[in-house]
Amino acid sequence: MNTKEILNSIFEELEIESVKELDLETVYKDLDEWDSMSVIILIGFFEENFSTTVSGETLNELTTFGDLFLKLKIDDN
Amino acid sequence: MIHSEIKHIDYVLPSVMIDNSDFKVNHPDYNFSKFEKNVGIKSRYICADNESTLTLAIKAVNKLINKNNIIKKDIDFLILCTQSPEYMLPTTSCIIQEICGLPNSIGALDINLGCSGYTYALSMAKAMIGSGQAKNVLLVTSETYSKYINKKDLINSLLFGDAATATLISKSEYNGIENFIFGTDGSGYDKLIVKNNFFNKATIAPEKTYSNFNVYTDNNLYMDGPEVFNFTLDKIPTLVEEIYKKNKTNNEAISKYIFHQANMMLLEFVIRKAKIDKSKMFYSLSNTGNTVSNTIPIALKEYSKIRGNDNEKIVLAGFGVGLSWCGGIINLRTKI
Repeated sequence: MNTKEILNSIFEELEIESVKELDLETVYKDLDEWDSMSVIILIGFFEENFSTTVSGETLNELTTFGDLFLKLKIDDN
Repeated sequence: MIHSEIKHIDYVLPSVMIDNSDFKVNHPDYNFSKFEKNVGIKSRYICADNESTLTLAIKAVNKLINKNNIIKKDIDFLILCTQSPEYMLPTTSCIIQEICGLPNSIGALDINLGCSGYTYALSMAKAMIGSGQAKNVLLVTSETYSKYINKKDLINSLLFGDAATATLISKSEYNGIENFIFGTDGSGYDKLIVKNNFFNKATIAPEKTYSNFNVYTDNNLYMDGPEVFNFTLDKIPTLVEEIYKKNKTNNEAISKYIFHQANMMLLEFVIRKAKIDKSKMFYSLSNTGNTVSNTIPIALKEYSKIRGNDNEKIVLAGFGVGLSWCGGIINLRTKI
């Protein structure tokens, strides 16, 4: 999956309605749908697809999906 | 070796049923269908003002005794698992003994554990029977977390429900309770906590929020959902492997997995990580929510209603506040 496909998958998993699409600059914490359930869904998404454990603390510290992908070393290469 | 088995289970729910749609009035923007789809909870029951851990526990004990014609004088030990005791002191189990008319000769104690409490207490009951100290242990779980949850805390209000259960564990020639594994990680004590108690409870504590829809004060229940989720995914698949090993069995011999009913999404992740056959996982949280130490006995009772009378090997696993976990194997040969 490239970053665009990952963002599209996250968009669907989180059932985002407040914005039309997600990009690397999207501040996930500003999304209307962002709640503890969304955090868990996102953690589950990375665990399932990348076998990577993301802590709630990491999600709290970071801001954008770009930051998160950088931290998880996810890029288009 | 002296064996023990679960003879009967019954449970009661408090009087106030709250449907997800009841929350819509105050939270019109929240996506309840997404919650239902992921978490699997549609409704839960919480206590009315005149209901409590004690009143629920008494109802559960009386229901168990009356439905199954249990002779009270045959019960020789009472264990109550609760984190919402009636009083700071005395022990709530002592009051249950008196009100339910149980003999003065019984031992009675409370254990303060949450979602791992039923499996811990089941193992304690087995040990008491196995050591010849008791023949019939009455294990009660009763929780009223709703009293800890801030009225503005939507997520925890949606997740948790109140309930009480009663289980009779008896000496038996049948090996109904096998070996259990325990675990504790107190470094996560603050991930699920009611910080203030009788000694430091503030009349007015400052309100805090975390993410959208979670509001609490230090007088309320706080749950770091993501960290509890990660803890579960880290510990429980390993626990399942350890349970197989300790009991010299494997997944093929297991007919059902009945785990703490925290939420459906979490259980599905555990299934995948522990390589459990999905059809063997039993779910029972849609109408009652996460009732803490009650979820496993409620699920066991619900499963018993639909199962036949074949011998079945079932894996139980409880996990949560503490952080604490415990799991093992039970064998059923009848309806309970």
